[in-house]
Amino acid sequence: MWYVNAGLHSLKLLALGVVLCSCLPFSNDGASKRKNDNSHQTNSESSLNSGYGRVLTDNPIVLSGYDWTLPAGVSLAQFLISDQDFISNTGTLSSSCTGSSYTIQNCYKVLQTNTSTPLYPLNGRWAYSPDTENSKWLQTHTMGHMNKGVDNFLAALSYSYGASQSGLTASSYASSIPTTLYSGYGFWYDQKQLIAYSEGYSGDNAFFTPSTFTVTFGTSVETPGLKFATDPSVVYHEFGHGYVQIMSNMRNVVDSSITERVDFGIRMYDEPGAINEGIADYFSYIMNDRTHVGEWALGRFFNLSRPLIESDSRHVSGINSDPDKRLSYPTYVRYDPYYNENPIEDLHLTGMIASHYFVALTGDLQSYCNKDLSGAQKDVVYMITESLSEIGDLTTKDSDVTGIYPYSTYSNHVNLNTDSASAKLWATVIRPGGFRRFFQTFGKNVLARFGSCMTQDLIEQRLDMYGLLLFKTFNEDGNGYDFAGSVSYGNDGTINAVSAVNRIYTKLIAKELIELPTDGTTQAYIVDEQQSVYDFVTTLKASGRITNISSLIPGDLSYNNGNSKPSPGEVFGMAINLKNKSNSDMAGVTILANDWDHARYESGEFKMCNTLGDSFPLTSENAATVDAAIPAVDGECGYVTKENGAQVNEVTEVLAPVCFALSRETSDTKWVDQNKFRSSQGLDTSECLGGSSSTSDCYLRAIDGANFSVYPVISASKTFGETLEEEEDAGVSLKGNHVILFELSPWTPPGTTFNCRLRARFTNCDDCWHDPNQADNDDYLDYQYSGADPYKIINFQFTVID
Amino acid sequence: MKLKGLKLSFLFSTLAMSLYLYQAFQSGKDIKKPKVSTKVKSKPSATKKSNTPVESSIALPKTRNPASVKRAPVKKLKRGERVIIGNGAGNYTDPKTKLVLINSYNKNWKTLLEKKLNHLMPEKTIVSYQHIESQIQMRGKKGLLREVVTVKTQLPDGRTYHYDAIVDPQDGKVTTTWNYQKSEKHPLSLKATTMAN
Repeated sequence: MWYVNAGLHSLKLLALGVVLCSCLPFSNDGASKRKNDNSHQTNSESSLNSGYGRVLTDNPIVLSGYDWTLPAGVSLAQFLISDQDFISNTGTLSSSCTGSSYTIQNCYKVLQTNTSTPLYPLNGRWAYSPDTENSKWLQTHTMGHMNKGVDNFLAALSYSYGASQSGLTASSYASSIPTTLYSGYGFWYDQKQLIAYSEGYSGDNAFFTPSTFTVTFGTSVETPGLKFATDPSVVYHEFGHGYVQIMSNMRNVVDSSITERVDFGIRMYDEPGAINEGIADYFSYIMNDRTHVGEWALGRFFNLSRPLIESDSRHVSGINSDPDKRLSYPTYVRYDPYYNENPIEDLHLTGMIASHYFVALTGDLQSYCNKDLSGAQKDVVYMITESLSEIGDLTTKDSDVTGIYPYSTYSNHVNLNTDSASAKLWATVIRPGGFRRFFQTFGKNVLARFGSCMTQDLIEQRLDMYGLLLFKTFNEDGNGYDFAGSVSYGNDGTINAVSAVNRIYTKLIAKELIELPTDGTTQAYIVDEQQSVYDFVTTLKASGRITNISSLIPGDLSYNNGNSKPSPGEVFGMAINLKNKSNSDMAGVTILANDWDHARYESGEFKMCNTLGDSFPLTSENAATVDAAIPAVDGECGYVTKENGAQVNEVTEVLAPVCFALSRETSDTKWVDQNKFRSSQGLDTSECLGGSSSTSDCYLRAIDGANFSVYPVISASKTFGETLEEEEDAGVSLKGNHVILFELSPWTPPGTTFNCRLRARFTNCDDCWHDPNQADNDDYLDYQYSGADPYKIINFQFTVID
Repeated sequence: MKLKGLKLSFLFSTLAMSLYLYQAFQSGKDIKKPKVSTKVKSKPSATKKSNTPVESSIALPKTRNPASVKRAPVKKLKRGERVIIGNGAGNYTDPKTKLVLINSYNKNWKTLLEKKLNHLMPEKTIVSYQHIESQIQMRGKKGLLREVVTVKTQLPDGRTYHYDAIVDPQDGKVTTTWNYQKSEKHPLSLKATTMAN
C-alpha cells in the first residue's frame, strides 16, 4: 500500500536525520551552559537531593557565551544545569569547618541582611527559583559558592602548613607560618564566624568588614535588579579579602599576647591595598580557572571587570606576553583597560600588576617545576601565605624556628624587637607590604622553595618583566637588631644578591631626585573648605582610621574658612607638591608627618639636629648641640633610637614632632619647639591641642591615622599636581590618601610661621631601602626608619593668617 | 498513489532535515558567540575545574551538625581582673607583686571615650561600643593599662562601620585601631586649591 511504503521511506529518512543529529556537537562547551532546547532546568524539590540546590556555575555573561547585552533582570533560571550543588544539611545556611585536628562550629553562614532571619530549606531541599524567588535563591547560591571557597582556602592552607613544617630549604630559611597554626586557631580569624550577607547593602558596592568578619554584597541602585552576589567571581574576590586578613594575622592570632591586628591596606589608596586586591582577584582565578574577574557584577554595567593575563582581549593593544610588554610597575599603576586614554587612580587597577604576575608565575611553575595547574596554584597560594604571614607579624619574631643564625632568640627577619605597638606602625606605615617589600619577601620565598627547579635568574627575570625587581638582595637576614647584645643581626646573615643584569625593565631612582619645587611652582595644595573637610574627617573617624581630634576644634569645623591658607582653629588637609626630577616615573610616593628622631632634647626644649643631610637649621638658628667628641649614644644627634622612642631601654632618646615654630623674640631667626613657643606666648599648657600632657605639638599637629600621604605615582619630570592633571578630572582633585591632615589650634597667633620637617620616600627608590653603608647592598634595619637615612627630608614652611 | 507517497516522504524528510539544520545552527551559534576571548589558555592551561574541592587533608563530611557556638579556650595570664600580656607578664600575675604603672585608671573612662567618639560626628550619628577586655601590657618592667573595645558607627546616611581599638583608661583616648572595613568603591574626593604663599 502506498501509504505504508511512504511511511517506511519517511521513517528511513527520519532515522537518517536522527543519526545525523546525534553526531553533531550539541553539548555546550565550557563557556556556555544554556540548554540548546531553551528549556530551563527547574530547581524543583523533586529534582534535588536533601541538602542540595543549584547555583550558577559562573556569572551570566560567561554562561550566556559572553552576551554583553544581557539586562540586569535577565532570567537566571535558564543558566541552571542539571547538576546539583551541595548547600547545607544543618537546617539553615550555615556550616562548621572540620579538619583532622579541629572543629569550628558555626564556621560560616549566609543571611540576606544583618537583620534577616535564617532561610530554611523546603523539605530539606534548597529548591528556590532564581527568577521567582530570587532573594532566597541568591542566599543558597552564595552559600554554595561559600562552601567551595572555604573548602578550597582551608585545603590550600593545609597544604601550605604541611609544606612549611619542613622549613622550606631547612638550612637557609625558616617558615613564617606558625607551628601552632591549628592548635592556636590562627587559620580562622580569631575563630569568628564568617558571615555573608547576600543583599546586605543598598548600593553599588561590596565590602569586607574584618571586625565582624562579614562580607556584604550590594544591590545596585543605579541598575535595579543587579545583585553583586549573583557573580561568583565577585563572591570569591570578596572572600579573598577575608583570606588575606587571615593570612596576614596568623602569627598574631596564635600569640595570645598580641591583641592588635594588621590590615593589609589602610588608606583609600596604598600599595598593600592594591596587592590585597590583586591577591583577591587571584583567589577568584583559582576557584574558576578563569583569568578575568567580575564580568557581570562589575563589567556589564560599570565597565570595571578586570583581566588577570596580558592576552585578555580587554587589554589595549601593546600589552602582551613579550618581556617588555607586560603589565608592569609603575607604568601601569593607573591603567584602566576600559578607559585607557586617561590614567585613573584606583587600587583595584594597580592590583592587576600583582595578579598578572601571580598568573605568570603559575605558568612558570607548570613549565619548570612539573606542576599541573592545580598544583601550581596551590604553590602560589603557599608563597602568598608565607609572605603575608611574615609581613603582618606583630610578634617581632617572624618565625618560630630559631637557631638558623648565630642568634638563637629570633629568626632575624622583621620588625622592632621590643615593642609590638611599634611593630604595627612598621607593618602598616613605616615599612609596609608595598610592591617592594611584598615582592622581595615573595621572591625570597620562591627562591627558597622552588630554587631547585626555577633558577634564580629566571625568578629575577620574571619579577623584572613586571617591574618588580625593586631590590638588590633578597634580604634573607631580615631587618632585626638585638638590643641586649647590641647586634645588628639584620646585616650579618647570608643574603642572595640580585644580578644587576636581570634588572632591565625595573628602574631604581635616587632619592635625591624628589624635591620640593623652588622655582615658584606651588609647593602645596590645601583643602580647608568647611563641608569638604567635614565630610572627609567624619568618614575617616567613623571608619576608625582617625580617632582623636582636639576638643579645641569645634565640632562643626566652623573655623574652616576655605581661604586656601591654614587659619587658627582649622582642620586642613595638605598635599605637598613634590617634583620628580628623574626621567622615570616614581611610584608609591609616601610623605610621613609622624614624630621621628630628628631632634635632641636639651635645656628643656627640643632642638633640631642639623646633621641629617638637609643642612637645616643653621647652628645659629637654634640647632641642637653637636659635639664631635661625644659618641653617638642615647640622646645624641648621631644616635637613632632602636625602639622608636619607647624609652624602655633608652632613657633619654625621644621622638620629636615634625613642626617647629619660628621665634620672633629677637631679630635673629630661631626655630623653637612648640612648647617653647607656647611659653613665649604665655599660653597655659592646658590650652594645648592635646592638653597639658602634650605640649611639644601644642599648636599644630598632624592627626594620627592621617599623618602620612600616598601618591600612586609622580610622572617623570613632573610635579605631583601636573601628574594629577593627567587624569580625567579637570584641575587638581585630591583623593583622601593624597593629604596629610593637620589641626591648628585656635590659639595660634596669626603670622606664626611653621617649618614641618617631613620625610619622603617612594617604592622604586634605590637608596630609600638599601643601606649604602653596607657593601653587600643589604637593606636598612627596621630601627633606622625612625631616623633620617632612608628618606629625603622635606622642610615645608608656611605662615598662618587670620 | 506513488506520487502521494513521494510527497509524504518528501514532507517527512524535509521535517527531519529541518530539525537537523536547526540543531546545527544552534550549536554553531553557541560556539561562535564569545565576544571577550577566553581563547588563551596556553599558560596556564584551561583544565576544566570540577566542582569537588581541592584535595586536602581536611575531612569534608556531608553531614554537619547544627551546633551552639563553641570556641577553643585561650589561655591568658591575669593579674586580678585584668589580662596581663607581654614579656615578663608571668612575673606579675600575683596582685601582691608590686608593678609600677605607666598610666592610671579613671573610673569615668567610658564617659570620656564616648565624648571623644562623638566629637565632630554629625547629628543623628549612632556610636556604640562593646568593651571586650581590660589589660595590662608590659613595657619593660612597667605596666600599661589598656581597654580593648569594638566600636560601631552608623552615620545618618546609613553607612555603618566597625573597628577595634585600644583605649587608655586614664583619659578615654583611643591609642590604636585596626580591622578597618574594605570597600570596592570609594567615592570620596576633595576639592583642592593651591596654597597661597
